[in-house]
Amino acid sequence: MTTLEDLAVALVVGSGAFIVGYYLLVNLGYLLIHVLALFELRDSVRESEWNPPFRPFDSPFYPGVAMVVPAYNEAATIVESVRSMLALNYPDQEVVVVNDGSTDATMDRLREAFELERIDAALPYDVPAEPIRGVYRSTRHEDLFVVDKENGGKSDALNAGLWLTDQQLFCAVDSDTVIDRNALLQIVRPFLEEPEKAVASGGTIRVANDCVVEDGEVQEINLPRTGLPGIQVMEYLRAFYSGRLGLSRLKGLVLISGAFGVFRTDRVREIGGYRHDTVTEDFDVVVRLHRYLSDEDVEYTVDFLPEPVAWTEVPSDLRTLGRQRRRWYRGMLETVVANRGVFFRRRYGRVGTAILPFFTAAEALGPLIEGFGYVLLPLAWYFGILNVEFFLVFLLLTVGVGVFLSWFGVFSEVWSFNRYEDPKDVLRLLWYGVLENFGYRQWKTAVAWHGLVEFLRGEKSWGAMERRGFGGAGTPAAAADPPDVTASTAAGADDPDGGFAWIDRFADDLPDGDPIDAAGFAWIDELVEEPGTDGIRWISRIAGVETESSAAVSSSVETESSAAESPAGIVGATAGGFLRTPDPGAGLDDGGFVRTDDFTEGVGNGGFVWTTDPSEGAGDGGFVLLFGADDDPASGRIVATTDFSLGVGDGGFVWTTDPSDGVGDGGFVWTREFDDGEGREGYVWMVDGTGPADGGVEPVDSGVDPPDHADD
Amino acid sequence: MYVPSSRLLGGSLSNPPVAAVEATDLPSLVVSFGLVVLGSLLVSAALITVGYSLLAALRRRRREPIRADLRSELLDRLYGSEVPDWEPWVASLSAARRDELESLLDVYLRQLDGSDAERLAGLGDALGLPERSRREIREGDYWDRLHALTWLALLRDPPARDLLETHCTDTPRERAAAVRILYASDAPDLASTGVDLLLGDDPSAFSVFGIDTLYRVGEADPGPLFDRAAAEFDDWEPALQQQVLSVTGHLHTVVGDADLSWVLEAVSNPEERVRVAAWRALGAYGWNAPLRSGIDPTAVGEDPSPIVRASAYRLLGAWGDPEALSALRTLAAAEPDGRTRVVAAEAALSHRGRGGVRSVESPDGHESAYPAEFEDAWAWAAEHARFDDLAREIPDRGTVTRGREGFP
Repeated sequence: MTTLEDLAVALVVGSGAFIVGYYLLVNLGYLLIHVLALFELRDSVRESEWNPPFRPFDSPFYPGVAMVVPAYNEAATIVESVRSMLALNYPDQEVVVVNDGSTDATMDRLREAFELERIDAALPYDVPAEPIRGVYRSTRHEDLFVVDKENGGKSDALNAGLWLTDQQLFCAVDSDTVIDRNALLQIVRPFLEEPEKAVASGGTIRVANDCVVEDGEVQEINLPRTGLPGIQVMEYLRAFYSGRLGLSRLKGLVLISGAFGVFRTDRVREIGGYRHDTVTEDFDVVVRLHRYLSDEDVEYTVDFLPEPVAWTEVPSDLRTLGRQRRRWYRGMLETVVANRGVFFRRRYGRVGTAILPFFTAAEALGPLIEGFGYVLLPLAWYFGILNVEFFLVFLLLTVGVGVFLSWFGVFSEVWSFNRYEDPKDVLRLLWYGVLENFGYRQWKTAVAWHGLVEFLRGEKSWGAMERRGFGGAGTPAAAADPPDVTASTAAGADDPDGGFAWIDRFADDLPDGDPIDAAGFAWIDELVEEPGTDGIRWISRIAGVETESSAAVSSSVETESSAAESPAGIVGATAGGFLRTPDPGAGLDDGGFVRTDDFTEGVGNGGFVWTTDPSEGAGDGGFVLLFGADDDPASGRIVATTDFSLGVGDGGFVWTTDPSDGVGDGGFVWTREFDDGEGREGYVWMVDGTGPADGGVEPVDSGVDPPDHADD
Repeated sequence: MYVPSSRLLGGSLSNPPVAAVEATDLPSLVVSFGLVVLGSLLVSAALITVGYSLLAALRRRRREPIRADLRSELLDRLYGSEVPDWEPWVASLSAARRDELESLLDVYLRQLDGSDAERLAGLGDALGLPERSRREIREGDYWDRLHALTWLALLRDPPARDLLETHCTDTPRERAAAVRILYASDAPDLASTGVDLLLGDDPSAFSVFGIDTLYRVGEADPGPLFDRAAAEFDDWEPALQQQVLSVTGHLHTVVGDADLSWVLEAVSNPEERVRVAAWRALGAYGWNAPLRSGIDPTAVGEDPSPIVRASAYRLLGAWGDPEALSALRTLAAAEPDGRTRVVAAEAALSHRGRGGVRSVESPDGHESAYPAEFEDAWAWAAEHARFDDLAREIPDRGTVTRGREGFP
């Protein structure tokens, strides 16, 4: 062996020893936290079982709570969300929606739904946020305020809300979070028990994918049917029922989810509100509260409660999940670095001396070290120093401990509030605890390294969160069934598959009637005939805008203002809709669209992707679905436009050759072979009563569901 | 669209970094032992989790039809017959059904009042709840006592005072739960015994349940509460002082000759929160001339805390007489804090009632000389009042004026 090799061997062996020691310590720490969590859970269950004999709604002493709801481009869901929040059980509550410079119709939807009127007075005090365009109040709901401001990010929106409320407490909540009806009554419990000390409390966030959401409330709890959301259910249970409960037991809770947490308004104002220069404002604000209150020598509590529950939709594809987790990782590093002065300082109590250092070692450094280990393994093998027996034993032990800790979280859920009532669901959760160790965890280490690189580069973006939406009444969240567009146009602005979810339902609503001349729908073939065409030109045929001159089409598409004022002016299209069917001949032109992530499968070299950003595809616009008069889907039309807020779901389709464009991976290509796509069925264009030769148009209710990317 | 940024602390790092490069041999006994222990833990965890889930599912399946039957029978007996005959019915039930019935009784006792609740309390007697509760107060642990006290409050069945005094004064929560029984049962000694139980023997701050209970006691008769506060207020911790002041401010029942000097003194308490509560408490006593003569509201302008000043402005608005409003105008004109100026404007608006009343000119009939900042605050407050009226469907809502025009 050369000296270099000796050095390399020494490094590998030394690193290995360090990693082994590190993992022993960290796992011991986790074990301790999980055991403490059980004690905390026991106490919490006892507390929740005791219901004092008085009526909260009769008491004048309940603290007032402002629900502060930052909203950015939430046109599709904001009305239902606000209705749901106004319906929460709580004696003294107001809802403050902060429209953070949305570029879609969020503000219009709010204005219409709640009869908002602008307050005709200047703001009489300073608010540390981007300029406020106006404050609105509802003429119907005394407790609803809407703040319309320039875009400044979530922290900025939260600051505007918490500065404009006079309530003693505020609840930071994401607009797409579904909150249990009694959750507000439950989450304020620390403020009721120790009104003088409580400064913050957080509740449990659960996964809403595949749950049935009706009237803004989760009516039926289902475990997601696919693996990726399922593994996240197990992760959330472990994090909330073990991690946070354990930290709460240690009086060292450093994180309250931004999706659902209650804070004392004056305390958060005293620390200057939320910081703008972080992407994980929820973590940062809690750490700064600890720091400030310790500096001020104030006796305080930050609590976690396992039972008040808010539901959120988790990413169902790796791309979106990776983006989310990278952001979390970057934000964690930002907060840790920004609060490095707290570390190992006795004046900050357990938070400074133990919790934050452990949190940093385990959560920030852990994935990096794990990833390093994966690199070390082949090196050790290469140098011939891999002790296979030791490796296997170590692997077995650490995977075993990992599984055990995950099962701890599942057990805690079953033992306490038992929301997953079916034992088969519990078995699946246990299985996910095993499964995550093979592939998913390794993927997360890569994500952490990626997050580190982004942090070092100074990346500050949030990244788009693609949600399928909770749908309408009685709709399983993100499930296969399309949202009921006849009840609401809110089909999910960021729904990766939302565009075609509603198309399916649209077909159901096709009325019987006289056939309409379908000559205009030869357009698809012309796409093939015209190589080099962009989507804008050829789709114009279906929109009926113009067929002779592409320049004229471009002109109509680019006239954004006129489009916004009068969608009808750019339409002129034949009313029709899409039918989901296994028969490509069922519609016009003996072909239709199939969903795929390989655009070479269809005719031509591109396809349509669903997006809320019209500039994302070729050209400057795309195609949206407009309903007819009185929102009648049966007289819907596809129009070309640059303003996607005009269309159903505030989104539309753009033409692109890159299936990764748009929301979700993949899109729709034209084909005459429906086997080309991901399922057996495709979508064919129908015009009133124009059907297949046998005359029967039967909408297909099952078959090709919006594909799930959980296992991508 | 924002994303919830919840990191998932809790064991995400338990997997190996594949760092098994140690050249040393492992003691096989230790390894074997470790693997056996871990394996046992895993098997136990899986079995217990699945077993518990199965058991819970089984219980749920059994319980739901039982509960539906019991509910139907209970309502029939409660509303459908002259005599409910609780005892024979309860005697015919199995232990599991009695447990379920107990749970139903808890639900209905919290929802019903008056004669329905009294009649339903008979079911509690038939189930033996009063005896069991008294026994648990004597012999049970903390949680047993709390649940027992709760049952007795729901059943409106007060136990002997010495039982409460002996066993239920360890914590503020137990004290409140004990007094709640007296309140629920309209005990004639509610005020005196209640105050003794709540505030006797080195009391400490309450939860909201305790504060509400103290309030109910004070509403019955504030005399004993005021007497106790006059004698011991200075000995209490600031949190309790604040709570008692808060209760005082909410009381509707008044005692003309009560000694409220402790409230007056509290407005100069070193603790900000106590001063805030003291000003708020005094708001209910604008009618009390001797008390008012002891207050100089304009002095609050010197208080460094904006929330204390805001509390005093609310008091002046609540009093609403020319003298108080004059003081409010003086203070508002000099108020340096923007948010507090809005409170002053709201206070000025509040005493005028709703609708067109707000457009009344200044009492002195002259153009007001308020700074522009207060004009903004006034306009803001007037607009909010207008919207409150709109949402509450107040008929005169259209006549509210804005800006300088409507200054007090």
